Amino acid sequence: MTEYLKAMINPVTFSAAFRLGTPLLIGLSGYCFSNKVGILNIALESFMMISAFFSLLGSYLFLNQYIGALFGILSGIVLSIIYGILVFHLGANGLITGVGFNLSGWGLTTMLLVAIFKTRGAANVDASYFASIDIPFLRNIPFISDVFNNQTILVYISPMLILISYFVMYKTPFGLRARGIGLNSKAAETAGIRVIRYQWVSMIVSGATMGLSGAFISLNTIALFSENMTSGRGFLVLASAMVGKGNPIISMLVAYVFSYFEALTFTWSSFPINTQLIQMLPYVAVLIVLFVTNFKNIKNAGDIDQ
Amino acid sequence: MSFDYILETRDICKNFGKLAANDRISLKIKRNTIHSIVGENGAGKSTLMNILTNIHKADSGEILINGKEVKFKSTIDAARQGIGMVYQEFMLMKGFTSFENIIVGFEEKKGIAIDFKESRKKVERICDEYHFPLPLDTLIDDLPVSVLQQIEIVKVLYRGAEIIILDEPTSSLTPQGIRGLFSAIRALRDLGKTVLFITHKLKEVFEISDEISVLRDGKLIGTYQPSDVNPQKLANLMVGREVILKANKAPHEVGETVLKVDNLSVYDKDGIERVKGVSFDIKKGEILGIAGVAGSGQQHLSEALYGLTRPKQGSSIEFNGEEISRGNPLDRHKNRIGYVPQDRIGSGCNVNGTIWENCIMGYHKARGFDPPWLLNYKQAHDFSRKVVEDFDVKIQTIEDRVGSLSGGNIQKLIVGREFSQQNILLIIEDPTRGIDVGAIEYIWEKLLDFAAQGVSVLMISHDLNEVMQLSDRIMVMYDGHLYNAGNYLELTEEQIGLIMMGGSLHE
Repeated sequence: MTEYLKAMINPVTFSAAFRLGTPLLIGLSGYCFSNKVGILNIALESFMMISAFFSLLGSYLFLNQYIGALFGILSGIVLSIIYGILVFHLGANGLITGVGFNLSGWGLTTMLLVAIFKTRGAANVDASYFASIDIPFLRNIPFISDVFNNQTILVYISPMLILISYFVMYKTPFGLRARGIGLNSKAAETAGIRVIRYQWVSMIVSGATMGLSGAFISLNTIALFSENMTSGRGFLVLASAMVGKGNPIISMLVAYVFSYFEALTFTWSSFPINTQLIQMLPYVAVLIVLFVTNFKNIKNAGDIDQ
Repeated sequence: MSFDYILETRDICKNFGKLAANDRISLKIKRNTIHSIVGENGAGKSTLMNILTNIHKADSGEILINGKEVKFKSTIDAARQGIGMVYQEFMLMKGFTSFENIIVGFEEKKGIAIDFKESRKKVERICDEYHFPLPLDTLIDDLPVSVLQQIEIVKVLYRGAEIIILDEPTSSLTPQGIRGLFSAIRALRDLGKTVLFITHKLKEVFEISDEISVLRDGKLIGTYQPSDVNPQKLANLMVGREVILKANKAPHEVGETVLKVDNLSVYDKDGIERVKGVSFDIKKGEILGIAGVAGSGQQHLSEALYGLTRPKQGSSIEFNGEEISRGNPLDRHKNRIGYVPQDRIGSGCNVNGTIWENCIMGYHKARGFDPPWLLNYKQAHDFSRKVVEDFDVKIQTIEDRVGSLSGGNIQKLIVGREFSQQNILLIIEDPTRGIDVGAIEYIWEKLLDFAAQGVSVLMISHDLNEVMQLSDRIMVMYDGHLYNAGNYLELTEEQIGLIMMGGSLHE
């Protein structure tokens, strides 16, 4: 038992948690705005997955991981525009649209994998990727070095994106208005705020950040894409934003809780315990977090007004 | 600034379908005055205000500010021109503080960020100048209505309003709140603003106005000095339209008491007392009509009577000698009390359901279509056909969606459903709102028929003519209280209209 507990506070676990939190943080830095203006976008999973594929493709074609990331961002933006047209202008149901996106995303990437890279399941191709960086001044600090050093640029910028997102959300007119729209869109309109414009901006920004998080999935320390590679991380972005009520900092902390449990599945997998059980951890963590954070609502369950 | 009129409209017209909501309205508002605009519901007040704030576009006509014609492209343009509106339903964001609510959309900026210091100074200056001691850093969620209203007023001042429109501002306030509001309005005028005060309460009009404009049926009847008119005359101007419809009401005997309501008080979900200790009774075969302008508490009264909301402790509703105030709508059905709600689309029927489903709706449980846990289609269909036939509902088949019917037909269907259940008491709100003359006459006839057969009817209507034509006895609801307004044909329309506006017959 003690080795399990020791693994829980092992720097390797924290390092993995820090790394695995990256796609969630990058996605959150944009999606928090969608959350605040009241867009529930379950298609995030497909945004991340499709962008991951195109990031790899971009990096493969140009042998440059930054161009790969740009491909990811662009495909995220394109996806968000398609989603926005369907839902904002053609009146499609957001949930059904999202299900459609997610199923097509899986199918599309699997198909393109065969069509372009001629492989089934996984493509480990000759493309450039984001390599880990050794930061000299961290090198000699015990523990800190083990957790934070030797990560990639994407990992380091992810908390910065959250800080930028927080600044925009709480210190600029855009953020104040976006939050206001979510609270009462009719009141926002009487304040001269063009609601649809803010929805569109939030939508596209979330598409771009989900695209960048896709680049992390396929280009972080190794250039690889496999079928269903995101495996629910898009949904974790959604869950973090909802638990954090769109506050980037709180959502980030929630995301780190999720990524910590994901990291545990790696460190614990070396122990003699049923791997299927361990792999449940991150998803069980989601359920537990949702249960704990919403516990206070139980007494209101069944209210017709709500 | 030497123009006499700060705001002027010239021949504003606005049609909604066939209805002329505004018909060539030419209104002149003097600078630095409190100008009341009065009229019944549907007289066109709200439409006119929505045109001034550019929520609606006028079909034709001009708006002049300081003598210059203005064209609005968006709601923000109206604000830039100095027109600020305080809506009857507050446009506030719960979850924001008072301060955030005031500045949102019009923030002072420093680079790309909000200049919180400067914005704050500006808000505080306004609060100081106009004496609104607002709790700026408190979330508005739990603030009382009167404070929310002050936030709304500060908000329009912050946006630079010179003309402040208050739409029915007193409807949700306590008497103390109203006093506070009135002194605030006077302060606004004394500090150079112009206030447009929209209301249908006559007492308030005389208390606060410098000038009064009367709207009726979309037309401007005239603008008056308070010294030139009295409440009686103003009421006449507001409601004085021709009685176009007449019911053939035959006098008949009424029986023993069926419903006895004693000291009934109802609070709404914001905790405001909407029905204030009313007492009345209805006899067998009697039609009791309750008139009153919208929002006087009628809806809360009918909901409490029907068991949709719980009345306050100490209220009593006795039905055939049995206390029923704690019951729910199902109990009411079992007691044979029927209900035709005002919102026939929202609460009266299920527009996506078929006609036969709607015909048995609410009654399948109370009396059962046997066996009680299975639908007996034949029984349900036969019953539905009977309702449709008896009440002359124009349909193709009873499998049609209710949503495909016209408003008049839906109303006939709902009235038919409630009438066909051998109910002893019917609570009916606005039985003929928004339906054509033919359907109105039909429903009136049926109402009188059933009353003659011994069914008691509580009819709450905003159409005074309807109340006067059908009721054996008339009461008027004003500000949560019920006032007697005589028996059938005892009082004139003008006299009842005066009570509806909160006036008294003996003034």
